[in-house]
Amino acid sequence: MSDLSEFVAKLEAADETERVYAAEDIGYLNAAEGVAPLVARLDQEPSRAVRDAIFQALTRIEADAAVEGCIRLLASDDPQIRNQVVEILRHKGAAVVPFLETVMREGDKDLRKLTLDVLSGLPAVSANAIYQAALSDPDPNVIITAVENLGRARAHRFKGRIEELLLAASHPMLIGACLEALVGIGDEDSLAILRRRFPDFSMLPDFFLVSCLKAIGALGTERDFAAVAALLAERGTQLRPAILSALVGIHARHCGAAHDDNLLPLLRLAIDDLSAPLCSYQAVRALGFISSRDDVYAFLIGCLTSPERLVRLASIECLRETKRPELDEVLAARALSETDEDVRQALRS
Amino acid sequence: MDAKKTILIVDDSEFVRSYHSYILEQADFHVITAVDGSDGLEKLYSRPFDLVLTDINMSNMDGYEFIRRIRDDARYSLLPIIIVSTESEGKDKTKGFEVGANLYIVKPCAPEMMVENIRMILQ
Amino acid sequence: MSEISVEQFKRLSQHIYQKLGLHFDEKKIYFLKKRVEKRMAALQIAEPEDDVFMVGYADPLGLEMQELANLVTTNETYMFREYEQLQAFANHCLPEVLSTKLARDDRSLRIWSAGCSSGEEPYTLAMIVQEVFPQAHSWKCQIIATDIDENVLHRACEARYGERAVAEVPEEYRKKHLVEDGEEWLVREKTAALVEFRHLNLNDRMAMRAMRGFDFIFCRNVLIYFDDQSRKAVVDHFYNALNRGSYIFLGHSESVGRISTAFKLKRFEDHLVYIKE
Repeated sequence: MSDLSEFVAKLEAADETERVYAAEDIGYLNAAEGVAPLVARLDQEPSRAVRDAIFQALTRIEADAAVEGCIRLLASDDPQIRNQVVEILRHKGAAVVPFLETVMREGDKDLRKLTLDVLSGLPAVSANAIYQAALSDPDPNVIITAVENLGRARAHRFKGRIEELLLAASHPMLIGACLEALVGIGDEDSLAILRRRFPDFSMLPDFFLVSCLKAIGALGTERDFAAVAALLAERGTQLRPAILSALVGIHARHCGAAHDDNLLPLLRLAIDDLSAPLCSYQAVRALGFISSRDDVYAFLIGCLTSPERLVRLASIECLRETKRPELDEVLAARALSETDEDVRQALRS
Repeated sequence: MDAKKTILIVDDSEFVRSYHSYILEQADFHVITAVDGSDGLEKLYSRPFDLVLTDINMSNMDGYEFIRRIRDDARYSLLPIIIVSTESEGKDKTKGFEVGANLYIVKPCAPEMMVENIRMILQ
Repeated sequence: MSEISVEQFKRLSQHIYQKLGLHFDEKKIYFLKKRVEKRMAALQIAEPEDDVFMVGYADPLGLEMQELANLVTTNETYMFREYEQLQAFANHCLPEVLSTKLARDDRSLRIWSAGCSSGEEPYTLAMIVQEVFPQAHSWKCQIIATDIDENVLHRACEARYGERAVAEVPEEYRKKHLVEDGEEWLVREKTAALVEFRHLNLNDRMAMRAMRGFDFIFCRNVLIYFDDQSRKAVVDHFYNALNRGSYIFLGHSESVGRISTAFKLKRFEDHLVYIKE
């Protein structure tokens, strides 16, 4: 009996561990003939551990038969099987793309969506044809997934198509996906389109506004800074992280943007709310934009005694950026009464 | 005034998690997210939740297995669970109810509809 | 170099969690951010967004992810490390397994400390077992401690440690299980006798298959250094090595569930543990 037939026979063993080892051994044999018995066993296999071993084996087998077998499994009724083969196919890389092109042409909307799920780990350039088709797909989920992938993979050549979608789309989720994609691949044209679509973003519902803020953070200019900062007072506290991230993003490219006298009181709304320490941290860090001002400097010194350690840490980072001559002494003195080790280290370094 | 209800959102797409989170936070829910069923279970076991919103197609642990494991635990037999999935075949819905979901919503769904369904279930 | 923003850091953490199953406490953001920024400087990456992109989408072998994970985890080993997890073991899991075995008249207990390094963990387990279970010596009780590094196993056999390694040992345990020898501490013979050290490469699948019949497996802060596939292979082997109703413990910040869903999650008070049902 060949090794393979011996292992295949053991795939039917009563003992779960024997079936696991059988699947593992078939995987290590790395033979195309191993694929069919593994796939056949999957449907009837009740044990999750054995199924896992089969999935690992299919990952190990390099032959095209493994790709073909997995592609057929994309249509399985069992979501564990469908989704694990997405992982397997992703792992196999760009070699699976020609096979997926067929699925894209012939599969139903669920299969087309799963195709894009496979592609989400791969460079977009290997699947241009699939993405071209996906962006005009009749099913919104296919388009949304395609847009998500392209943004994350920084596929700049699809920027124009995504901008068109942003202007034309009516479904909120697709609009949001387009905005987020443009964060990675957008430019000043994209910003203009965003402003056309949303002339007054301050009135948008949260789920839109967050995506807009991400785009503005990546693409916005000085003129957007004050409007974004004002949102700290106008909108709910759950939006503060997104607002602060946008301010940080704009400021990184336009450091003259933060000259507004209102900025300190606006940021204090977030700093003083210690129920969200990470947000307070972000807000203190944003004070770094204007830390050269005396009033801000004094406020930051005050933050050194905040009950929230993240606020103390952020203020140290901002203060160091001011490079004021008296600072070393001030921080060293503070270190004597600081109880938190990370903060003490930051005060001393 | 009642304390805010807490919802667990389980989806492997970062964008979808964020999108649904902001819809629900604006509707005055407290939201915690998880990347798949396994992460969802760890979060579920770590604090009380009033409702779970889960995708089906996730690797590592899919939505049906996630729901099965929730319902296997007697403490969660009454926890409302809503499936939010791209799959719209009848058999998927049947399976969803078989494993113990209370409602099946096809995505993408309108934000108002999602909030309305959740409020209805929580009453 | 631009500073990494909170949002970027969160996304990076998300990637690391999804790929490696490593949790980071938000409270540690300052410490972690500094390390990541250091890594970016070493790679000459000026824009944090580029780093997030690279780790998420241009790191096919997961090498950079691994580097980051190495940077943000602490490598030191000492006795009673990750105390809360040991509490879950001592207060809940171990009594449960022992009473189930007693009911079956099975007086054996086998624990595997995988990647035991210089032995702090298996000796810690030996102390805890004796405290929770004074009859340990009348049962067939074995703690098998394995590592790939022969040199480190040699040191482990000597059962001799400096002050740093024993600093977290509770006072009553120190009195009973350790003896002072100059500036060092020796593990008492009775405790050390419960531990057997062996050489084992976790990636050697045949050697792993030979490990069967365990009631507990500890493999804490070891698998973070493995690639995806190897990590999964090791945990899958652990599943096969465990008896039904037995527990696996990875590091406190490592998630079993992200590596294998064959295990089931259980909660004991505030502790989450994974069991092979």
